[in-house]
Amino acid sequence: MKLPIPVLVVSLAFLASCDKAFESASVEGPSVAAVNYPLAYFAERLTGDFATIIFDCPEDEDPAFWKPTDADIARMQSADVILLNGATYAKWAATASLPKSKTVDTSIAFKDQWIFVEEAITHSHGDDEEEHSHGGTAFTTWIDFEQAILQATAVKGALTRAFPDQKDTIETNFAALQTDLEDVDNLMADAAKGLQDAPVIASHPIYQYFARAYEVEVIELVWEPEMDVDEKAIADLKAAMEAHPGAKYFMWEGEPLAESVEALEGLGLTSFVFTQCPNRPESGDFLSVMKENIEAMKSLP
Amino acid sequence: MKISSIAYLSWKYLSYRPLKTLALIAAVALTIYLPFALQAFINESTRILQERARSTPLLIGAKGSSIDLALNSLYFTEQALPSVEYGAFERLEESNLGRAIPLHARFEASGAPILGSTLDYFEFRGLSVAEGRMFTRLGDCVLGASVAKSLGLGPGDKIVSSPENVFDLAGVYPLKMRITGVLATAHTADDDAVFIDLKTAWTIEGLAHGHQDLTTPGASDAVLSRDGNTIRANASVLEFMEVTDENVDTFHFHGDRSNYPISSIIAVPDSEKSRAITLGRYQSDAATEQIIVPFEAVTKLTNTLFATRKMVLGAFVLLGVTALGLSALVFVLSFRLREKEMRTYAKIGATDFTIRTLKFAEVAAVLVIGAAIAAVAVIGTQSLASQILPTLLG
Repeated sequence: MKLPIPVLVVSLAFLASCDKAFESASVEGPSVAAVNYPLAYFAERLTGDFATIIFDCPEDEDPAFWKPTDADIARMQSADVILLNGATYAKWAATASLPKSKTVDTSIAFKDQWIFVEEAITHSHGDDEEEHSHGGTAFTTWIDFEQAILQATAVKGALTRAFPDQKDTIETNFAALQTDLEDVDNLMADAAKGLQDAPVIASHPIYQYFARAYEVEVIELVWEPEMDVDEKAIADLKAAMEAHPGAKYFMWEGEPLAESVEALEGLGLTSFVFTQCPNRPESGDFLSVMKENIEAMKSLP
Repeated sequence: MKISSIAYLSWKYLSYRPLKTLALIAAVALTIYLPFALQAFINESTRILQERARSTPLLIGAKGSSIDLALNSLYFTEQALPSVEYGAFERLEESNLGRAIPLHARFEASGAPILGSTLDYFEFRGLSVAEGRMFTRLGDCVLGASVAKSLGLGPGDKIVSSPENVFDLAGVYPLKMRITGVLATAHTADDDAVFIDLKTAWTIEGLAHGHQDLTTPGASDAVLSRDGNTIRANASVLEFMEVTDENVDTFHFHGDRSNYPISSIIAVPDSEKSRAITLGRYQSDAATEQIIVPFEAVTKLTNTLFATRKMVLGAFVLLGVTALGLSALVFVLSFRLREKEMRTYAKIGATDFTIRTLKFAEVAAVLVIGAAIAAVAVIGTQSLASQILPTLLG
């Protein structure tokens, strides 16, 4: 059987692209792979410009539920250090083959502080994404900034072991990062005081560590910023408000639709955005996003 | 009589009886060749054994025969000792005394041993992928160069792990694995193995599995009971025997990973002090594992081979003496049968010295040709022993 020439050309082009995907897998020079943006940010701050940071999650995906391809994993395998968030974040890592000696669980130091979520609803973010649940261990560890500092410390330890000749650079950069994270921690604690009087309703079950660290009662729904707030959603919200009376604020993980904000205002809830920043932001960086979160909290009536 | 004339007459006689001459030359050649060839093979096998052992600083495994531990860890022979717990590896790694590499060498696929380990093993042994790529997830494998060649498999093909015991229906079930690459030839035991991630080895062992979603209506026949978030399933639940991109997320591990089995641990201390501390940790009676220096264990084994070699060499010397004696007898009898021919030489003017020289030349020619053939064969064997040996060892 003869194949039509266009089919052959397309097939050959596909095979060539597959080869190229693996050819470009390894990174020249020192490199550090991270499973989410906060860790990639810590690595960027600590390495300055002596290492390439590998963080390949597409901008429109949540790194916690992103599924890297074989080529993505091969690229991570080539890194000198692989930073995992731990606390069951990025479940693909459990079945991926990563070099043990180069892989660091950055939250293992506070494993006894991990929060276990007993019940969780399975859901999906849009039609294109697979269903998932936030059950098991809560994993947005870094929005408790004391934990973020511990994770940054783990990153520092891993980088120092991998690049001993850069120890002074890493130590100097870590001191600056630690100061920045401590400042944000203090500002966050200060801003959270305005939320401690009454329960805060959150759009997504990702604020467990924030709630514990800054003593805020957070009631978590399973909403998405871009979803239509329909009757069922309103009914769920009202049930939550009845179970936790006095709520004044609604915390979104991303910029909500104007109609949603309006609907919530009708129920006496003021919306604000607190993003966990798991992926690289369109503008600014991890610290600037967290400072925006703080400003949003401080500007609440 | 001129020397050239003696040589001519000797050559004429030897070529007149070609079978007898060739038999005598072969007897001489083999008598010289066999002990030297045996010596070359034993020296080469000792070198290969010691080289791999020398490149493996320390091995930790279950208490028992140090040779069994070394052979299983270095050559992936059948695991004769019990497994140790993965927790032993974790404790060693946490001690920060150097690099630790866990090994799981218990299973086989198509007759080749399967080695489960981490990617650190490849870096430690200096192994590289010649074709395809390294494994990236559960259910992947890469093949050693010889395995790939003998089985005719390569990237994109599948290979199935073998059940340990065909009569043990409740034992490990076969896992169909995706071959992602073939390693470059290393001229070591690594050429003959199938490599998988340690997590894949545990999957074959039954400690991790993937199965149909028990929360879906289609799985209701397999559900025994539901209690809140807990679902109990019966044995009819459909377990996956191959990891695919579609079902990889359903694979999960049961129990505490620290209790999972491994065959042994390669320890690579980062300093002499770390080496001493590591060795010391396993010397107490309370230690549940033993630590060995593979080079010492293999040297013990090669010393046993050395004793065997002495016996075999002695036997070869006796055989050689016998063969040379028989050759001498053949010459003596031959010269007696040729008395008439010798008298003819005397009648035409040959002296006794010339006749003795003629006889000596014939014997010398056979001995020299036999020795020369043996020498060439020995040199060839010595230079090819490193390539021939793995073939002979299968």
